[in-house]
Order: sequence, then structure tokens, then C-alpha cells
Amino acid sequence: MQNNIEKKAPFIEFKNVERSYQMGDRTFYALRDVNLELYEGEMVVILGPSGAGKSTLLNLLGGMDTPSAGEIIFDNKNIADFSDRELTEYRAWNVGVVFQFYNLVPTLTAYENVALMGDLCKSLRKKSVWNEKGEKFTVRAPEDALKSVGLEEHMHQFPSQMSGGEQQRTSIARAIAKNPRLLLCDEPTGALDTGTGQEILKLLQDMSRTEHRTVVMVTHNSVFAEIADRVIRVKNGRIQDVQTCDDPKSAEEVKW
Amino acid sequence: MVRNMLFRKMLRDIRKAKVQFLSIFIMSFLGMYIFVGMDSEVTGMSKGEFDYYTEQNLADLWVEGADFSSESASVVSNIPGVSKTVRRIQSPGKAVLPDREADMSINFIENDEISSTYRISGDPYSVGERGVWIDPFFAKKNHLSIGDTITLKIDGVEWDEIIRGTIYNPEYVYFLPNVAALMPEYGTYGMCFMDSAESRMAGGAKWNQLLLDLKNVDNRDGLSDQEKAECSRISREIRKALDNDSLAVLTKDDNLSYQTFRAEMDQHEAMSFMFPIVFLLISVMGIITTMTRMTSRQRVQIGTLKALGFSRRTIMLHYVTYGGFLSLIGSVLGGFAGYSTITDLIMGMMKDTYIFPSYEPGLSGKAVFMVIFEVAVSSGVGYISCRKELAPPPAETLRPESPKNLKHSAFEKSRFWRGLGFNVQWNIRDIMRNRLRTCMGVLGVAGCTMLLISAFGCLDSVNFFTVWMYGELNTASSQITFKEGTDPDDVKDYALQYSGQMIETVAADFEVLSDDGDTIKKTGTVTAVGKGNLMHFQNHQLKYIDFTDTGVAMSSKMALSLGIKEGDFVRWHITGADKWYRDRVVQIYRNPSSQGITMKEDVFRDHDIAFRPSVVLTNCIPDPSIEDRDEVISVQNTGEMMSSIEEMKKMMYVMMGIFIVVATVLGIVVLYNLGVLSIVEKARDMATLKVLGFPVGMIRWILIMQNLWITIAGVIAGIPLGRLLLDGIMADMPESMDYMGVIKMPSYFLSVIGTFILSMGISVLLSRKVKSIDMVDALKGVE
Repeated sequence: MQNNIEKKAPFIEFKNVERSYQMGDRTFYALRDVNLELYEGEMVVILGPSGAGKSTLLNLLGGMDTPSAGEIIFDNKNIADFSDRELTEYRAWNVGVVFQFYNLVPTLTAYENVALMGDLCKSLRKKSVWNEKGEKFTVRAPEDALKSVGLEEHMHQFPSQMSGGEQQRTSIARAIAKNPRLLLCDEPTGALDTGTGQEILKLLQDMSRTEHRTVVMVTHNSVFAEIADRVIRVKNGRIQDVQTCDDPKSAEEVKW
Repeated sequence: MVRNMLFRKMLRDIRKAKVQFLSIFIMSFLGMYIFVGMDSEVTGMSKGEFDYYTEQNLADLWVEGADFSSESASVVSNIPGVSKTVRRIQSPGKAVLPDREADMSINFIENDEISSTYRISGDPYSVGERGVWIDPFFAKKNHLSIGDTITLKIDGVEWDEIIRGTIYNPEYVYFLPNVAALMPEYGTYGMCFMDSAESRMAGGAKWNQLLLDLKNVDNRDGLSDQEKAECSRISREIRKALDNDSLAVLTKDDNLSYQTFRAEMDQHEAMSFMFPIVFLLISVMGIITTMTRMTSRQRVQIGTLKALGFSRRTIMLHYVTYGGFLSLIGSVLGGFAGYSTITDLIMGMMKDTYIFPSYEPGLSGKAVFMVIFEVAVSSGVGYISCRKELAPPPAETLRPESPKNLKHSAFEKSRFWRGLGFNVQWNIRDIMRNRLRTCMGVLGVAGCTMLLISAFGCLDSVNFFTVWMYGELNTASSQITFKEGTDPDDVKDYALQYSGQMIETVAADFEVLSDDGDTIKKTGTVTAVGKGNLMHFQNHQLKYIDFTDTGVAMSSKMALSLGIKEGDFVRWHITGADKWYRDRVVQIYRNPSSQGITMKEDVFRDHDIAFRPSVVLTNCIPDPSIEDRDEVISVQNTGEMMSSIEEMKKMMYVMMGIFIVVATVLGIVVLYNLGVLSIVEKARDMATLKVLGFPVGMIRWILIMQNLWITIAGVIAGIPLGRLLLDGIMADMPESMDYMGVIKMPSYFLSVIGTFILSMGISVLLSRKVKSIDMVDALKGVE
């Protein structure tokens, strides 16, 4: 399989990023001296053991947290300087998140969880457009998003009535419903069996391959490195190694 | 179909925690139910009052004198600010019925242009028409119809009149048969109007009243300061123009009918605000516990919404809507329900006391304001409850909350603590960790006890009033009331004949200079007590006191409103007279039914005022025939005097009923709500205990024990609060009344037992849920 890296200007760039927490008298560094570039349409796997700083990296990418030092450049703007409102708009416009434990709203059906993005779109349209390119914020119809993850049969079920795989598909449908440029996945198969996990991986790989979205997946399982265009290894809060794969495997070929 | 997904989420969340949210809804509903019910009654009746007084042109001033000529009326009419003057003869008289003589306020009118009659049935009145127009309650009760002949009597002169119609009059919205009566009982006495030409039949009575219509005084919501000043100016000019300093000029504030109704409206208005505020407070407690709990449980959901791109404002609005939405629905529905039920109920009660041609409910802007206020407070409290989860960045909110950093208190390190059983230790720790929930529980129980105590206290107080008034202060078995102007020597003869005690009571104005230089003015009565031992006085401690030979004694409530202590001076004058007196207040006494100053007959005479007693109290049984004598208005025994208290008792029963219902609702809502919350929060702990082998009975006992502690604390706090509320209710009585809030031991006992039964009943009921806790489910994940 050909990798999906098109060497243009980086889509997101981390420059000397640091994230630290003050714990009493001590400073704990979750990330240190991180320099990183992400390109549009690539599938990136961030690998590392527990506590390595993977989730912190993902949170910074997704605008869910802000760095203590350094710059995160996105569309020529430094996210690190964003106000709370600008960060919210950044997340809404550009980022889709898939969580390990799906994080669906339990009192909404699969359809309604995805339709939430429609509410978001409505609320964004009322605000001034942040995107300088004048891009229109559009959302997919919930039916389409659910169909694309193969859930058209179960769209009116509540999360408690669905299997883990179905819930994760719903979570992906919710993430892609707003057509994000960046899809962030935090251990997306961590709570799933192998078969279901493979299906989810395939979906994510398709997002990158066919829809040209940048997919960043955080995992501690090194097997997933085989499907990535690039693998970023993190240890003790630092990037240890960035590896480009010329011939990534397809999701069906991966076994764990 | 609701399109907004967050709105759907809210509806489903509400359904999931329906018990807690139902209580918020019920409180908003009840608050507005009572508020709108009372407000529409006050608004409707105030508008009815204004329209009625305006259409019937209620007099703005009444001048009372011996005989007013047409020239006098003309002179008064020419005073600047007076738009019209008419003369009237008003006299207490009798209607001679087949079985008795009934009190009748008889009016002969020059014309019907001021305080004009309102026709109910029969012919309309016009100048020069023969016959009499009577009040319909009297006609109905005494089976009198239009066309019948009625015999009227003034000063021993009897004559017949044909009943031409039935009428209301704006000066007779509220009226009593005599000064001794406390509550109206329409039909047993009455009022009537006829043309002045008819006065010839009554022996040619003289014009004793002038009714004035003023240009700059209207009928809206009592007299304003400006209107009072205008009345004062015109009163002075009238006395000057008629060259008579002793003329009594009365304003609407001095008019019993006008003033009693106004005071009642003011009281209803004040009460209408009390209930929604109490219910709102309970609702606020519910919102705080429910929303804090909910947002804490939905912490990860909040983080997810943030991560998905929802702004903090959108999420905050979502959670604020829970309380706001339920308050809105509850308030609006409560408002509609109150408008259609409570208003009718209160108006039904008012109809027995106040005579108006129409009783239409009305709506004021206050109802809308209250709905907005309730929704705003509920939303605001919702915001305060959820802001903790909204503040951090999504990365932090997405992580489960780190456990509270718990420390052992000094108490937990003591030997005493180690000696406590597991149940007690568990409950103490649970209370310490859920202080807010515990405080709300204590407050709820305290509120319940408070309302029950004051409800039973209302009844005790009325019963006490009866004994106090007619068993301790007035120990006479009969009271003879004399007509105004009766020769004092004649009254003295009666007193001698029946070994009675003579009493004179006159209306008076009091004033005192306050510390900040303002003059405080009050109206009340001056009572002069003749020799005898039937009328008694008691001080604050309800110890009997004897009046001194110098100085005056002042009623406690009057002293309080004037800011007077024993030894201070007060200025006073008899209403209508110009001469002012200055006396030292040497004693303070309590009197439930009239406020002012009291002195011995001799002290009264020392002021150069003639002692003209209007009442003789006696323990002898007067000859029934003396009631037929011209100078006697009525002879009443204690039983008759006490009958008017029955009406007051009825009102107290209503008040008591409302309080008991509110107390029960409050107790059930707060205790059940908090109990369910407590069980939901502790489900995992209790499941763990079940897994460890603790029997269900023991776990239930842990829950019941905590509720028992909360109930005991609530009851202890509720007892003094009940006392305070009762004193507040008593203080809110009309100015002339000084009721003592009395709570007897059985009432305390009943209130405490009632609260315990309610609290423990709910507690036992809720603890049964322990049985149904699924150990496997409860021990799974939190969400």
C-alpha cells in the first residue's frame, strides 16, 4: 500500500512545545522540546507506553489544552496564543475526536449523538466566521455519517443498547459528521475485541485514504504502527523517534 | 419534534431524575399558584374598589356636626379644592321586625350625588321619591321583599316605609352594628337610604353630616401624602369658614369601611409574596443538590461536548435551562391554576365580609415579574451549581475527577471515636462529606416543624384571645351600650342600678417627636374607665395592673409604633376637637382589641373633658326591656360578644389548613428528594456493603439513623422558628389589634410528633430501596 504523504507545507507544526504541571514545589513535565510537523491527509500513529505524554500531545493538537511554552502553528496562526473562544472555534471547525470509551451522550440515540453536530453548526453560524479562508462550516446529515460507518440499522438505539464496536462507530460518525480536517483518536480500539478493532481501524484508514483527512491515532500497541504513514514514538515526554513508512499495511492485515 | 439535541438530552435527563426535578416543578407551581391566586384577587378587588368608589363618587371628606344649613353647605362648597357638597342625616336606628328589633343605620339624603347608592333590585332612587331602599342581605335574612312595609325607629319614633328596592353603598362595604362588634354578620343588622323628605316621619331629624367631593383626591390605593395634606388644608378651612373649632372632619383613612378593606388588601398583598419566596427557597435547594449532582456525574459528557467544539456558553446555557425550564413551566401552569382556583376561593371568603357589586379577578404585571424572577433565580442557581465543571479546559474535564483529599479530623483520632459503632462512624463521615445535603435536610425538617407549630399556634392564639378578652380583661357578664349624646347622669343611673362600671371610648390622634426630629402620628382610642372592677388591665407579663391617679397608660402596640417607653410624653387630641393635651405615659398595658391610651375617669376629667360614658359593664342580668329604651343601643351578654370571634376562628382554621398542607408538601418534597439523592450517591457503597455480607436490615438502619439525626436537628431548629413565624403573623394583624401568639404544650407535641412521623415514614419508605440495589450493576462504572 502506498503511503499518503503529500509533501506540501506542514498542516500543523509544533515548535519547542512544552507542557508542564506544577505539583507543590515540583514541576512535572508531561511534554518537553516537542518539534513536530503534520501533513494534510496522512495517517499518523503516536506510540508510547502509559504516562509517556501521548494523550497530552493529542490534547494539544486538538486544542483541548494549551502548551506551557512553545508554538503550535496552524494555518499560520499560533494556537498557543488563542483565547478560549478561538480555541473553541478551532475545535469546532477543524477537529474531530474519537475517544477510547466512546464518550457518547447516554441519553441520546446514535442518530441524536451525531445530530448534535448539527446543533453545533447552527450555533457556529450565528457567530463571526473565524476561518480566514472563508470556508463554510458544513455538517453531514446524521444518516449519511452513520451510513458511512455502517450503522444505518442501529441509528435509533441508545448507547446502552449497542455493543462497544457500534458505540465506537457512532463516535467516529459523530467525529466525521462535521468534516474535520484533523481526526484525533485516543486508543480507539482499546476497549474492543480484535475483530471489531480491525473494523474501526479500517474506517479510520479510509478516512485518511479516501477522504484525505489527517488522522492521528494515539496507542500503546506497537502493532498499529504497521498501518501508519508515519509513526511518532514518545517516551518520558519527549519525541524519541519519527519514522516514515513507505508501504503501510491495510487494517485487515494487522493482527493483535 | 424537538430538533435541538441538547434540549432532548435535557428532557431525558429530567425524566431519569424525575423525583428531584418533579420537586423543583412542584415548588415553582405551588409558589405561583398561591401568588397569582392572591395577586389576581388583590388586583381584581382593588380595581373593583376603585371603579366602585369612582362610579359611586365616594365622599372624600365627612364633616360631622349638629345641624348644617343649606348656607353652611354652600359656604363649604365655595372653599377652593371642594368640588361638591351634599347634606345627609345619618342616625343609628332600629328596624322593628316581628320577632326582634334589629340595628339599622338609617340615612336620609339630600341627593344621591356623593357616596351614591348602587341599585341591586327594584326602583332606582331619585330625589323626592317616597319609600326606603335597604341592603339586600338584611332583606334576604329577614324575608323582606320589594313592596313590603318595614317599620323603622329612631329615638323612639316609629314609622312605616315601603321597600322600593335593595341597594349597596360605597360607605357600607364593611360595617358593624356597634363599636363592640368585632366581625360583621350581615343580615342580622342593616343599613337603609331614603329621601330627606322622609325625615319628617322620624320627627324631623337634623342634617348632621356634610359629604364632600374634593377635586384633587381620588380613590386609588389609599390616600397619598399629597392627598392627606389637601384634606388637612380643607379641614382647617372648613372649621374656619363655619367658625367651629370642634367640628369633626373625617378623611377616608378615618372611615371604617374604607380603611378596613384597604388594610385587608395590603395584608393580602404582603402575604402573596411570602409563599412564592418560601417555595422558591425550597426549589433553590432542590436545584442546587440536583444540578451539582448531575453536572458532577456528567463531568465527562461536559468534557466531550467541549472537545467536540461546543462553547462554554452553549454548555452553560444547556445546564442552566434545566432549572429555568422547569421553573418556567411550573410557574406558568401554577399561575393559570391559581388564577382559576385560589382567586375564587379567597373571593368567596371576602364576599362574606366586604360588600361589592362585582368580584372580578384581575391580573397585574407582578405575575409576569414573579415568573421572570423565579426563572432567573432558578437559572442563576443552576449556573452556580454547574460552573465548577465548566471552568477547566476540556482535557481536564475529560479525566475523572480526582477523589477529594480527605483528612481525619481531630474527632476521628479521639478515643471516643474509636468507641463508636460502625453505623455511627459511617453516618458522621457521610454527613461531614455531604454538608450541603445535610444542611438542606435540616432546613427542610425545620421548615416543616416551623409551619406545623405556627399552624397549631394560630388556633391556640384565637382560643387564648377568647379567654383573655372575656375571661381576664373584661369580667363582666353583660354590656349595655348607649347612644351617642346620652345624658351622663342617665348612664350613671344604669351603672348604679346594675352595679356596673362606666367606660367611655373616643377616637383620638396621637403624636410624638421622634429622635430624628420627625413627628410620628397614629390614630387610636382614648378610654376613660369609671370606678368598678370589671374592666382589667395587664402588663407585658400579663400581670394585672392598677391605674395611677396621674398620667396615662398606653397600650403596648401603640407605644411600640410611637416609640414610647414608660415615662415618655405623648401629645393627643380627640378626633374632631382642636385642643391638644400632653401627658406622661406612666404604664404600658396590653389590649387585644383597641390601641391608644387609657386613664381613670378622674384623670380624664382633669383634662377638662366631660366624662360621657357610652358603655356600662355589669355582672347583673339587665332587664331585657331596657333594650327598648331610647338611650340604649344594645344589651349583649358575653356569649353574644364572643360569637363574633367565631368568624375570626374560621379564618384561622383556613390559615391553619394552608400551613399544614404546605408543611406536609415541604417535608415530603425535601426529605424524599434528598433521600433519593443520598441513596443514588451511596448506591456503590451500599452495594459494597451487601457484597461484604452486611444484612439489608443493617444497611437500612444506617440510612434511617442518619435521617433520624437530621430530623432531630431540624425539629430543634424548627421550634424557635415556629414561634417567630407565629409572632410575625400576629404582628401582621391590623393596627388596632394586639394578638398574643400562644403555643400550648400539646401543639408543640403534635408538631414534633407530626414531623417525626412524616420524616421517619419517608425514611423507612426510601430505605426499602436498599433491597433493590443490584450489586453487580452498582459496582460497575459510574456512567
